[in-house]
Amino acid sequence: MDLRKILLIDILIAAVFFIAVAMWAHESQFLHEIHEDIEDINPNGYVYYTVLIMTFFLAVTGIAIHQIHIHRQSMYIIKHLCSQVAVETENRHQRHKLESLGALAGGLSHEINNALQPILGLTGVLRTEIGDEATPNTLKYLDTINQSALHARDIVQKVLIFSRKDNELEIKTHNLLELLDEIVNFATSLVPSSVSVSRQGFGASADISKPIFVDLDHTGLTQAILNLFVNASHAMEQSGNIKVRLTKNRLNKNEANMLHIAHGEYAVISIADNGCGMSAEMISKIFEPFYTTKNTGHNAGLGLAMTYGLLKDMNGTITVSSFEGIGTEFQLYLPISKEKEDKEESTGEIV
Amino acid sequence: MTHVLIVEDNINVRITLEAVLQQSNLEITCCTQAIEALAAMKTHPADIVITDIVMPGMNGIELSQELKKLYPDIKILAISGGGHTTNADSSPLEQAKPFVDETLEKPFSTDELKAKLSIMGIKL
Repeated sequence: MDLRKILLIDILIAAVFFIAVAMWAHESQFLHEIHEDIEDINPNGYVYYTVLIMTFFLAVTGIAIHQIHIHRQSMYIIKHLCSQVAVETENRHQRHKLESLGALAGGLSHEINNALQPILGLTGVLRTEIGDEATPNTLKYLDTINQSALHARDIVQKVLIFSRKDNELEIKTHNLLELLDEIVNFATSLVPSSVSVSRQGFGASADISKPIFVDLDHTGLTQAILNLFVNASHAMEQSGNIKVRLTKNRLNKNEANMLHIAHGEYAVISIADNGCGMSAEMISKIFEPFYTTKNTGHNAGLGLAMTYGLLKDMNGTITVSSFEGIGTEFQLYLPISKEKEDKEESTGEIV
Repeated sequence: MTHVLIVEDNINVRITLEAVLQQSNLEITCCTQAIEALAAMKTHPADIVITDIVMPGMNGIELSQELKKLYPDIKILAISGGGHTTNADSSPLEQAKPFVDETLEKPFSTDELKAKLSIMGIKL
């Protein structure tokens, strides 16, 4: 509410109040009783005194009401600012944590890779050295050592995504309408058949005359979507539906700041499931490395942390909203390629 | 006989490389640091150098630049455990690529190393 409206309301309240009190004072003998000591009182004097007293009274009321309005308005602004600062602080905290983990992962992976080298290299050498003398068990054990070392190497590779920089990604311009369809086809083949997948904004139902060009790393996006599909199918134990939706969203400066990305136009891939959902505590931790709810022994809890790193590398981001018992929705933001878009618009039809 | 020079500061990795290469008919020399490798090259030049990148003192990239200057025909394979140990924009292997013939990320299997050496024209 702006100040002019507040003033107008003040004046209206004052006017109504004034008329009511003036009428009452005129009818009752209120002023006459006050001034009974005054002898020759003019009948108009009632109105005169009423105006004098009420003007003072109304001025005080008006100012008080006005002040309450302003106070409420500023309280709203302060509350809003405080919540924004809290969100930003939390986001920055989260980002710093992931960045320092990235630096740690970089240093640590170098050491682990060096330590794994003799295991991987010498099992091969031993296999040849033992040759024909090897018993089936010896070969089985050597293979197990080898497989285990390869598994460790994979984990290190996943952790390294935190510390890798842009130039190691293969960023190319892709038409997301086609690419997303291809990736979702692949991801669908990996989830149980009891899980159905629906599409919106791409695939068969989409208007292919309006391509959505995005600069991204094909493998990176595939990994990210596969991770989300695997998580979604785990959240829906028996059966369920994964909804994949592609939309375009123009983020203004404020919205972009909240997400810590540059403002502009984004392609938003939403992946929603109707699984078990997550608690607020889980949501706050899911992008942290090594956080896992699965106890299969094969999950290092790197999926979502990796996805976060990948999206950041592609100048995008990932957000999550979830309700326990209802489901979870992830939104992947990827910046729309400006150059390609302009070129398309100048050569193609404007629909 | 092809002469291979191994430059690696980590003793376990050095033993492994030596063990893998000994399976083939190769002459092997091992060094623990770059300066030592440059001295070894003077007395007995190698055909191929397998060097680690992250090493104390002169690193593998500096060594490769020096070797290519002194011995233009030499073949160099850079190996590294990756990671970003400095604030550099790319991994050690990415940085080494312009100065060496081939790169291989640790840990690698015996077959992966042998395949790489074959690509470099080394008969095993």
